[in-house]
Amino acid sequence: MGLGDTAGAVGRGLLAGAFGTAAMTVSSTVEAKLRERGSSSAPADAAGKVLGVQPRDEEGKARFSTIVHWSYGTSWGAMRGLLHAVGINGRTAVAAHFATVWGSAQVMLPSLDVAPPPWKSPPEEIVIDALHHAVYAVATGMAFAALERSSS
Amino acid sequence: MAVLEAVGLGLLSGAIGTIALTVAERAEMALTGRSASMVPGQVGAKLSGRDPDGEPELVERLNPIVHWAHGIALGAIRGLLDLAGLGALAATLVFYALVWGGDAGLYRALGIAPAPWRWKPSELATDLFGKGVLAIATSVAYILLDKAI
Repeated sequence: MGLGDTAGAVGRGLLAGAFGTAAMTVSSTVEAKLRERGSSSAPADAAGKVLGVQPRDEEGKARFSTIVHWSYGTSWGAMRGLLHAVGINGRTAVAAHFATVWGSAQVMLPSLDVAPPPWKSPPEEIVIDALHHAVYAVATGMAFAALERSSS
Repeated sequence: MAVLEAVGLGLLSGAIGTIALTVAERAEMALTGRSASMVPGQVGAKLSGRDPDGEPELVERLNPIVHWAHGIALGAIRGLLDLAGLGALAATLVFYALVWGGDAGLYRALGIAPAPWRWKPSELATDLFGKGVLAIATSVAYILLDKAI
C-alpha cells in the first residue's frame, strides 16, 4: 500500500470516526438520561489540562467539552484507517481499535488526575464506560467497512 | 482466530447481559422490596479462601466486582456455544441451563446455599428470573453483534 492509499485509508478512518463519535454520543446521552447523571466533564478536564485551556464559565465548559469530544473521537478514527493500511480488518480491527482507544483513556485520564484509576472506580462505571467505547469502535468499524465498499 | 473472535464477542455480550440483569434486578427489588443479594461477594470471599461470615466488609467490597466479572466472563461460554455450531435458540437454552445449573452447583459446592430444591420458592424464582434475564440478554446481544460486525 502506497502513501496515497494510506492517506485515503486515514481519511476514511476520520470520517468513520465521526460516525462512531455520533453513535457514542447517542449511547452516553441515553445512559446519562436513564441514570439521571449530568454529562461527563472528562473531555473538557483532560483537554484543558493538556492544552492549558480554562473555560470561563459553565457554558464555555460545555461548549469546550463538546468540541473536544467530537474532535478527539474523529481523530481516533485515523487509527482505524491505519489498521486497515497494515492489513488488519473486520472484527480483529474493531477489537484492536477498542483496545487502543479505551486502554489509552484508562491510562491517560488517571495520569491527568481527571478520573480515578480503574482499580479505584466502581465496576459498574468501568463496564458502562467500556461499553460506550465499544459502541464507538463497533460503529466506526461498520462505517469504515461501508466506506471501503463504496470506494472500491 | 475463530475462538478469539467468539470469546471476544461473547465477553462484550456478557457485559451487555449483565447490564440488563442489573437493571432488571433493581426493578424487581423495587417491586418485591427484597434487599440486595450478597451471594456474589460470598462466592468471591470463598474462592479467595476467606470466610464470608467473618468478613462482611470484604463480602460487600467483592460483591459488585464478582457480579460484573461473573456476568462478563460467562459471555465467553455463549461465544463457545456458537462456535460449537449450536443454533440461536439451542445455544440460548443450553446457555441458560449452564449458567443457572453452574451457579447453583457452585453455591452448593462452596457451602453458600443448599441444593436448589431446598431453596424457598421465592429464592428459586428470583434466581431463575435473574439468570434468565442474563442468559437471554447475553444471547440476544451476541446474535445481534454477530450479524452487525
